Amino acid sequence: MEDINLDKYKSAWKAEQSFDEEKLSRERIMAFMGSASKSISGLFRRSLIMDIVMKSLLAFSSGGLLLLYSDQGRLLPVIATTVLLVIICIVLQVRTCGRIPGAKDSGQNTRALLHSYVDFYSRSFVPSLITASLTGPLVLVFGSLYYFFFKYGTVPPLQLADHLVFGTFILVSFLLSAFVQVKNFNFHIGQLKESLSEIEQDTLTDSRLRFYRKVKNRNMIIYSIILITGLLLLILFLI
Amino acid sequence: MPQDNRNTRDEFLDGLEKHQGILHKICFVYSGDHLEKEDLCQEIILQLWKSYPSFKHESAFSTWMYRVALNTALSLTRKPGLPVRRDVIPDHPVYIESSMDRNEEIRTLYRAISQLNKVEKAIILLWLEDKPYEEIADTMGMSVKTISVRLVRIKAKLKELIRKYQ
Repeated sequence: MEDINLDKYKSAWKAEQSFDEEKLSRERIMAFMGSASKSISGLFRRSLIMDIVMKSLLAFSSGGLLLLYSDQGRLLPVIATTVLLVIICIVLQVRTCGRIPGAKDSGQNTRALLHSYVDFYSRSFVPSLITASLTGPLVLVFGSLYYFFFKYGTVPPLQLADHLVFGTFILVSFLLSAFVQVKNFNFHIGQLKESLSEIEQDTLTDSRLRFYRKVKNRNMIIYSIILITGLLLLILFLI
Repeated sequence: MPQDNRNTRDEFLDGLEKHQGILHKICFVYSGDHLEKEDLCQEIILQLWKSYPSFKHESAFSTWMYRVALNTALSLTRKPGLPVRRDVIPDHPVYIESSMDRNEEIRTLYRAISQLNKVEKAIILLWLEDKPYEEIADTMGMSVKTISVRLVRIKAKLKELIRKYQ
Protein backbone atom coordinates (compact mmCIF):
# COMPACT_ATOMS: atom_id res chain seq x y z
CA MET A 1 0.00 0.00 0.00
CA GLU A 2 1.34 3.43 -0.98
CA ASP A 3 2.47 5.52 1.99
CA ILE A 4 0.92 8.98 2.01
CA ASN A 5 3.40 11.78 2.60
CA LEU A 6 1.44 14.46 4.44
CA ASP A 7 4.34 16.90 4.22
CA LYS A 8 3.77 17.01 0.45
CA TYR A 9 0.20 18.20 1.10
CA LYS A 10 1.38 20.63 3.75
CA SER A 11 3.82 22.17 1.26
CA ALA A 12 1.07 22.42 -1.35
CA TRP A 13 -1.17 24.11 1.23
CA LYS A 14 1.50 26.64 2.16
CA ALA A 15 2.36 27.31 -1.48
CA GLU A 16 -1.28 27.79 -2.50
CA GLN A 17 -1.55 31.40 -3.68
CA SER A 18 -5.29 31.55 -4.33
CA PHE A 19 -6.14 32.22 -0.65
CA ASP A 20 -4.02 35.36 -0.60
CA GLU A 21 -5.21 36.45 -4.04
CA GLU A 22 -8.89 36.17 -3.05
CA LYS A 23 -9.75 39.70 -1.95
CA LEU A 24 -12.86 41.19 -0.41
CA SER A 25 -13.28 44.88 -1.17
CA ARG A 26 -13.12 47.38 1.70
CA GLU A 27 -16.79 48.29 1.07
CA ARG A 28 -17.83 44.64 1.39
CA ILE A 29 -15.82 44.20 4.60
CA MET A 30 -17.45 47.32 6.05
CA ALA A 31 -20.89 46.01 5.12
CA PHE A 32 -20.05 42.75 6.95
CA MET A 33 -18.84 44.75 9.98
CA GLY A 34 -22.28 46.32 10.31
CA SER A 35 -24.33 43.16 9.70
CA ALA A 36 -26.43 41.18 12.20
CA SER A 37 -24.76 38.21 13.86
CA LYS A 38 -25.95 34.69 13.02
CA SER A 39 -24.04 33.21 15.94
CA ILE A 40 -25.61 31.51 18.96
CA SER A 41 -24.96 34.72 20.97
CA GLY A 42 -26.88 36.68 18.35
CA LEU A 43 -29.77 34.19 18.57
CA PHE A 44 -29.77 34.39 22.39
CA ARG A 45 -29.71 38.18 22.32
CA ARG A 46 -32.46 38.56 19.70
CA SER A 47 -34.71 36.10 21.53
CA LEU A 48 -34.23 37.97 24.83
CA ILE A 49 -34.73 41.42 23.30
CA MET A 50 -37.94 40.25 21.62
CA ASP A 51 -39.22 38.99 24.98
CA ILE A 52 -38.21 42.19 26.79
CA VAL A 53 -40.12 44.24 24.18
CA MET A 54 -43.21 42.01 24.50
CA LYS A 55 -43.15 42.16 28.30
CA SER A 56 -42.61 45.93 28.25
CA LEU A 57 -45.74 46.28 26.07
CA LEU A 58 -47.59 44.12 28.61
CA ALA A 59 -46.32 46.33 31.45
CA PHE A 60 -47.61 49.44 29.63
CA SER A 61 -50.98 47.85 28.93
CA SER A 62 -51.27 46.88 32.59
CA GLY A 63 -51.60 50.60 33.39
CA GLY A 64 -54.91 50.55 31.51
CA LEU A 65 -56.07 47.50 33.47
CA LEU A 66 -55.22 49.07 36.83
CA LEU A 67 -57.22 52.13 35.76
CA LEU A 68 -60.23 50.15 34.48
CA TYR A 69 -60.45 47.92 37.56
CA SER A 70 -59.47 50.65 40.06
CA ASP A 71 -62.84 50.51 41.82
CA GLN A 72 -62.91 46.70 42.07
CA GLY A 73 -60.99 45.90 45.25
CA ARG A 74 -61.38 42.12 44.71
CA LEU A 75 -59.37 42.10 41.45
CA LEU A 76 -56.90 44.90 42.06
CA PRO A 77 -54.41 42.81 44.14
CA VAL A 78 -54.43 40.07 41.47
CA ILE A 79 -53.71 42.56 38.67
CA ALA A 80 -51.04 44.30 40.75
CA THR A 81 -49.35 40.93 41.47
CA THR A 82 -49.39 40.05 37.77
CA VAL A 83 -47.88 43.45 36.88
CA LEU A 84 -45.18 42.88 39.50
CA LEU A 85 -44.47 39.47 37.95
CA VAL A 86 -44.09 41.10 34.50
CA ILE A 87 -41.65 43.67 35.90
CA ILE A 88 -39.60 40.98 37.70
CA CYS A 89 -39.46 39.00 34.44
CA ILE A 90 -38.21 42.09 32.53
CA VAL A 91 -35.45 42.70 35.11
CA LEU A 92 -34.40 39.02 34.94
CA GLN A 93 -34.29 39.09 31.14
CA VAL A 94 -32.23 42.31 31.06
CA ARG A 95 -29.73 40.78 33.53
CA THR A 96 -29.49 37.58 31.46
CA CYS A 97 -28.94 39.66 28.31
CA GLY A 98 -25.92 41.29 29.96
CA ARG A 99 -24.40 37.87 30.72
CA ILE A 100 -24.47 36.48 27.16
CA PRO A 101 -20.96 35.44 26.07
CA GLY A 102 -20.07 37.77 23.23
CA ALA A 103 -17.32 39.32 21.18
CA LYS A 104 -15.32 40.17 24.34
CA ASP A 105 -14.88 36.40 24.86
CA SER A 106 -13.86 35.56 21.26
CA GLY A 107 -10.17 36.07 22.01
CA GLN A 108 -10.13 33.32 24.68
CA ASN A 109 -8.89 29.85 23.82
CA THR A 110 -11.46 27.59 22.14
CA ARG A 111 -12.01 25.41 25.19
CA ALA A 112 -12.69 28.42 27.48
CA LEU A 113 -15.05 29.95 24.92
CA LEU A 114 -17.07 26.73 24.50
CA HIS A 115 -17.20 26.38 28.30
CA SER A 116 -18.55 29.91 28.64
CA TYR A 117 -21.36 29.11 26.17
CA VAL A 118 -22.28 25.79 27.79
CA ASP A 119 -22.07 27.24 31.33
CA PHE A 120 -24.18 30.24 30.35
CA TYR A 121 -26.80 28.01 28.78
CA SER A 122 -26.86 25.62 31.78
CA ARG A 123 -26.92 28.37 34.43
CA SER A 124 -28.85 31.33 33.03
CA PHE A 125 -30.45 30.74 29.68
CA VAL A 126 -32.81 27.82 30.22
CA PRO A 127 -34.47 29.54 33.24
CA SER A 128 -34.66 32.64 31.05
CA LEU A 129 -36.40 30.68 28.27
CA ILE A 130 -38.93 29.49 30.81
CA THR A 131 -39.45 33.11 31.90
CA ALA A 132 -39.98 33.99 28.23
CA SER A 133 -42.61 31.27 27.97
CA LEU A 134 -44.72 33.14 30.53
CA THR A 135 -45.32 35.90 27.94
CA GLY A 136 -47.98 33.88 26.06
CA PRO A 137 -50.07 33.07 29.18
CA LEU A 138 -49.70 36.69 30.40
CA VAL A 139 -50.98 38.04 27.06
CA LEU A 140 -53.93 35.66 27.42
CA VAL A 141 -54.67 36.83 30.98
CA PHE A 142 -54.36 40.55 30.13
CA GLY A 143 -56.39 40.13 26.93
CA SER A 144 -59.13 38.29 28.84
CA LEU A 145 -59.22 40.99 31.52
CA TYR A 146 -59.70 43.68 28.85
CA TYR A 147 -62.35 41.56 27.13
CA PHE A 148 -64.25 40.92 30.39
CA PHE A 149 -64.23 44.60 31.30
CA PHE A 150 -65.55 45.84 27.96
CA LYS A 151 -68.09 43.00 27.70
CA TYR A 152 -69.33 42.76 31.32
CA GLY A 153 -67.71 45.67 33.16
CA THR A 154 -66.04 43.15 35.52
CA VAL A 155 -64.80 39.54 35.61
CA PRO A 156 -68.02 37.49 35.64
CA PRO A 157 -68.41 34.45 37.92
CA LEU A 158 -66.85 31.51 36.07
CA GLN A 159 -68.20 27.94 35.88
CA LEU A 160 -66.04 24.82 36.29
CA ALA A 161 -65.95 24.35 32.49
CA ASP A 162 -64.73 27.96 32.05
CA HIS A 163 -61.98 27.32 34.60
CA LEU A 164 -60.91 24.19 32.75
CA VAL A 165 -60.87 25.85 29.30
CA PHE A 166 -59.08 28.94 30.57
CA GLY A 167 -56.55 26.90 32.57
CA THR A 168 -55.91 24.55 29.65
CA PHE A 169 -55.25 27.48 27.27
CA ILE A 170 -52.78 29.00 29.71
CA LEU A 171 -50.97 25.71 30.31
CA VAL A 172 -50.85 24.78 26.62
CA SER A 173 -49.57 28.22 25.64
CA PHE A 174 -46.85 28.02 28.34
CA LEU A 175 -45.77 24.46 27.57
CA LEU A 176 -45.80 24.92 23.79
CA SER A 177 -43.66 28.04 23.95
CA ALA A 178 -41.23 26.47 26.47
CA PHE A 179 -40.97 23.25 24.47
CA VAL A 180 -40.27 25.00 21.13
CA GLN A 181 -37.66 27.36 22.59
CA VAL A 182 -35.83 24.80 24.73
CA LYS A 183 -35.78 22.31 21.85
CA ASN A 184 -34.49 24.93 19.40
CA PHE A 185 -31.69 26.15 21.66
CA ASN A 186 -30.84 22.61 22.81
CA PHE A 187 -30.20 21.83 19.15
CA HIS A 188 -27.71 24.69 18.85
CA ILE A 189 -26.04 24.17 22.21
CA GLY A 190 -25.82 20.42 21.52
CA GLN A 191 -23.42 21.19 18.67
CA LEU A 192 -21.22 23.27 20.98
CA LYS A 193 -21.28 20.51 23.63
CA GLU A 194 -20.20 18.08 20.91
CA SER A 195 -17.14 20.22 20.14
CA LEU A 196 -16.41 20.74 23.84
CA SER A 197 -16.52 17.02 24.59
CA GLU A 198 -14.27 16.46 21.56
CA ILE A 199 -11.72 18.87 23.09
CA GLU A 200 -12.11 17.40 26.57
CA GLN A 201 -12.24 13.74 25.61
CA ASP A 202 -9.04 12.98 27.47
CA THR A 203 -9.72 15.22 30.45
CA LEU A 204 -13.48 15.23 31.08
CA THR A 205 -13.53 14.60 34.79
CA ASP A 206 -16.15 13.23 37.18
CA SER A 207 -16.33 16.58 38.93
CA ARG A 208 -17.26 18.30 35.65
CA LEU A 209 -19.99 15.72 35.02
CA ARG A 210 -21.24 16.19 38.59
CA PHE A 211 -21.23 19.96 38.03
CA TYR A 212 -23.47 19.71 34.95
CA ARG A 213 -25.81 17.32 36.79
CA LYS A 214 -26.00 19.76 39.71
CA VAL A 215 -26.77 22.70 37.41
CA LYS A 216 -29.42 20.68 35.60
CA ASN A 217 -31.09 19.67 38.91
CA ARG A 218 -30.98 23.24 40.19
CA ASN A 219 -32.63 24.44 36.99
CA MET A 220 -35.34 21.83 37.33
CA ILE A 221 -36.14 23.26 40.79
CA ILE A 222 -36.29 26.79 39.31
CA TYR A 223 -38.70 25.64 36.55
CA SER A 224 -40.89 23.95 39.15
CA ILE A 225 -41.03 27.08 41.32
CA ILE A 226 -41.96 29.21 38.29
CA LEU A 227 -44.63 26.74 37.21
CA ILE A 228 -46.14 26.46 40.71
CA THR A 229 -46.10 30.27 41.10
CA GLY A 230 -47.85 30.59 37.75
CA LEU A 231 -50.48 28.05 38.74
CA LEU A 232 -51.05 29.71 42.12
CA LEU A 233 -51.52 33.07 40.40
CA LEU A 234 -53.96 31.47 37.99
CA ILE A 235 -55.99 29.95 40.84
CA LEU A 236 -55.91 33.28 42.71
CA PHE A 237 -57.15 35.03 39.58
CA LEU A 238 -59.97 32.58 38.98
CA ILE A 239 -61.37 32.43 42.55
CA MET B 1 -17.69 59.61 13.00
CA PRO B 2 -15.13 60.83 15.61
CA GLN B 3 -11.49 60.83 14.51
CA ASP B 4 -10.45 58.18 17.11
CA ASN B 5 -13.13 55.76 15.91
CA ARG B 6 -12.14 56.35 12.29
CA ASN B 7 -8.49 55.64 13.12
CA THR B 8 -9.43 52.41 14.94
CA ARG B 9 -11.58 51.33 12.01
CA ASP B 10 -8.85 52.09 9.46
CA GLU B 11 -6.25 50.30 11.60
CA PHE B 12 -8.54 47.26 11.79
CA LEU B 13 -9.27 47.32 8.05
CA ASP B 14 -5.57 47.57 7.21
CA GLY B 15 -4.77 44.55 9.42
CA LEU B 16 -7.64 42.55 7.99
CA GLU B 17 -6.76 43.35 4.39
CA LYS B 18 -3.13 42.38 4.99
CA HIS B 19 -4.13 38.99 6.46
CA GLN B 20 -7.22 38.19 4.36
CA GLY B 21 -5.63 34.87 3.42
CA ILE B 22 -6.30 33.56 6.96
CA LEU B 23 -9.98 34.39 6.58
CA HIS B 24 -10.27 32.60 3.23
CA LYS B 25 -8.38 29.53 4.45
CA ILE B 26 -10.67 29.11 7.48
CA CYS B 27 -13.80 29.71 5.40
CA PHE B 28 -12.54 27.21 2.81
CA VAL B 29 -12.05 24.49 5.43
CA TYR B 30 -15.29 25.10 7.36
CA SER B 31 -17.73 25.71 4.47
CA GLY B 32 -19.38 23.35 2.04
CA ASP B 33 -20.55 25.84 -0.58
CA HIS B 34 -20.43 29.50 -1.55
CA LEU B 35 -23.48 30.38 0.53
CA GLU B 36 -22.00 28.85 3.70
CA LYS B 37 -18.68 30.46 2.91
CA GLU B 38 -20.30 33.89 2.55
CA ASP B 39 -22.16 33.45 5.86
CA LEU B 40 -19.04 32.32 7.72
CA CYS B 41 -16.93 35.08 6.18
CA GLN B 42 -19.49 37.67 7.28
CA GLU B 43 -19.70 36.26 10.81
CA ILE B 44 -15.91 36.10 11.22
CA ILE B 45 -15.45 39.71 10.07
CA LEU B 46 -18.25 40.84 12.37
CA GLN B 47 -16.78 39.01 15.39
CA LEU B 48 -13.27 40.29 14.59
CA TRP B 49 -14.57 43.85 14.46
CA LYS B 50 -16.63 43.52 17.65
CA SER B 51 -13.74 41.99 19.59
CA TYR B 52 -11.11 44.34 18.16
CA PRO B 53 -11.34 46.70 21.19
CA SER B 54 -10.16 43.78 23.39
CA PHE B 55 -7.11 43.14 21.14
CA LYS B 56 -4.21 44.30 23.32
CA HIS B 57 -1.46 44.08 20.66
CA GLU B 58 0.40 41.62 22.95
CA SER B 59 0.44 39.10 20.11
CA ALA B 60 0.65 39.60 16.35
CA PHE B 61 -2.56 40.69 14.58
CA SER B 62 -2.47 37.45 12.56
CA THR B 63 -2.27 35.28 15.74
CA TRP B 64 -5.22 37.08 17.31
CA MET B 65 -7.12 36.92 14.02
CA TYR B 66 -6.54 33.16 13.74
CA ARG B 67 -7.88 32.62 17.26
CA VAL B 68 -11.03 34.71 16.87
CA ALA B 69 -11.76 33.36 13.37
CA LEU B 70 -11.31 29.72 14.45
CA ASN B 71 -13.47 30.28 17.54
CA THR B 72 -16.18 31.80 15.35
CA ALA B 73 -16.04 28.90 12.87
CA LEU B 74 -16.16 26.37 15.72
CA SER B 75 -19.05 28.02 17.53
CA LEU B 76 -21.21 28.85 14.52
CA THR B 77 -24.03 26.33 14.76
CA ARG B 78 -26.24 24.87 12.05
CA LYS B 79 -29.89 25.82 11.93
CA PRO B 80 -32.47 23.13 12.75
CA GLY B 81 -33.74 21.44 9.61
CA LEU B 82 -30.46 21.55 7.71
CA PRO B 83 -28.78 18.20 6.98
CA VAL B 84 -27.16 16.93 10.17
CA ARG B 85 -23.67 16.14 8.87
CA ARG B 86 -23.21 17.46 5.35
CA ASP B 87 -19.48 17.13 5.79
CA VAL B 88 -19.65 13.35 5.61
CA ILE B 89 -20.60 13.43 1.93
CA PRO B 90 -17.50 14.85 0.27
CA ASP B 91 -18.56 13.60 -3.18
CA HIS B 92 -21.51 15.98 -3.09
CA PRO B 93 -21.21 18.66 -5.83
CA VAL B 94 -21.16 21.55 -3.31
CA TYR B 95 -17.93 20.23 -1.79
CA ILE B 96 -16.27 19.84 -5.12
CA GLU B 97 -17.48 23.34 -6.08
CA SER B 98 -15.55 25.01 -3.25
CA SER B 99 -12.25 23.48 -4.29
CA MET B 100 -12.60 23.50 -8.09
CA ASP B 101 -10.23 26.38 -8.68
CA ARG B 102 -7.41 24.88 -6.56
CA ASN B 103 -4.76 22.38 -7.59
CA GLU B 104 -5.24 18.61 -7.35
CA GLU B 105 -3.44 18.18 -4.00
CA ILE B 106 -5.47 20.95 -2.40
CA ARG B 107 -8.69 19.41 -3.75
CA THR B 108 -7.82 16.00 -2.33
CA LEU B 109 -6.80 17.58 0.98
CA TYR B 110 -10.08 19.55 1.07
CA ARG B 111 -12.17 16.42 0.52
CA ALA B 112 -10.26 14.60 3.26
CA ILE B 113 -10.47 17.50 5.74
CA SER B 114 -14.21 17.87 5.10
CA GLN B 115 -14.61 14.44 6.75
CA LEU B 116 -13.01 15.58 10.01
CA ASN B 117 -15.01 17.08 12.87
CA LYS B 118 -14.79 20.79 13.73
CA VAL B 119 -12.10 20.41 16.41
CA GLU B 120 -9.96 18.12 14.25
CA LYS B 121 -10.26 20.63 11.41
CA ALA B 122 -8.99 23.43 13.69
CA ILE B 123 -5.99 21.40 14.88
CA ILE B 124 -4.99 20.23 11.41
CA LEU B 125 -5.44 23.73 10.00
CA LEU B 126 -3.03 25.14 12.58
CA TRP B 127 -0.60 22.30 11.82
CA LEU B 128 -0.82 23.02 8.07
CA GLU B 129 0.04 26.64 8.87
CA ASP B 130 3.20 25.40 10.59
CA LYS B 131 2.17 26.79 13.98
CA PRO B 132 4.29 25.44 16.86
CA TYR B 133 2.63 22.89 19.16
CA GLU B 134 2.69 25.43 22.01
CA GLU B 135 0.65 27.89 19.94
CA ILE B 136 -1.82 25.21 18.81
CA ALA B 137 -2.23 24.12 22.43
CA ASP B 138 -2.68 27.72 23.58
CA THR B 139 -5.26 28.46 20.87
CA MET B 140 -7.28 25.31 21.55
CA GLY B 141 -6.92 25.37 25.36
CA MET B 142 -5.31 21.92 25.43
CA SER B 143 -1.96 20.72 26.77
CA VAL B 144 1.00 20.35 24.41
CA LYS B 145 1.04 16.62 25.17
CA THR B 146 -2.62 16.24 24.26
CA ILE B 147 -2.07 18.16 21.03
CA SER B 148 0.82 15.92 19.99
CA VAL B 149 -1.24 12.78 20.71
CA ARG B 150 -4.27 14.17 18.88
CA LEU B 151 -2.17 15.22 15.89
CA VAL B 152 -0.82 11.68 15.51
CA ARG B 153 -4.42 10.37 15.42
CA ILE B 154 -5.69 13.09 13.08
CA LYS B 155 -2.80 12.66 10.68
CA ALA B 156 -3.42 8.90 10.53
CA LYS B 157 -7.09 9.55 9.82
CA LEU B 158 -6.19 12.14 7.18
CA LYS B 159 -3.81 9.73 5.45
CA GLU B 160 -6.56 7.12 5.24
CA LEU B 161 -8.96 9.67 3.78
CA ILE B 162 -6.42 10.98 1.27
CA ARG B 163 -5.71 7.41 0.15
CA LYS B 164 -9.45 6.98 -0.39
CA TYR B 165 -9.88 10.17 -2.43
CA GLN B 166 -6.62 10.10 -4.40
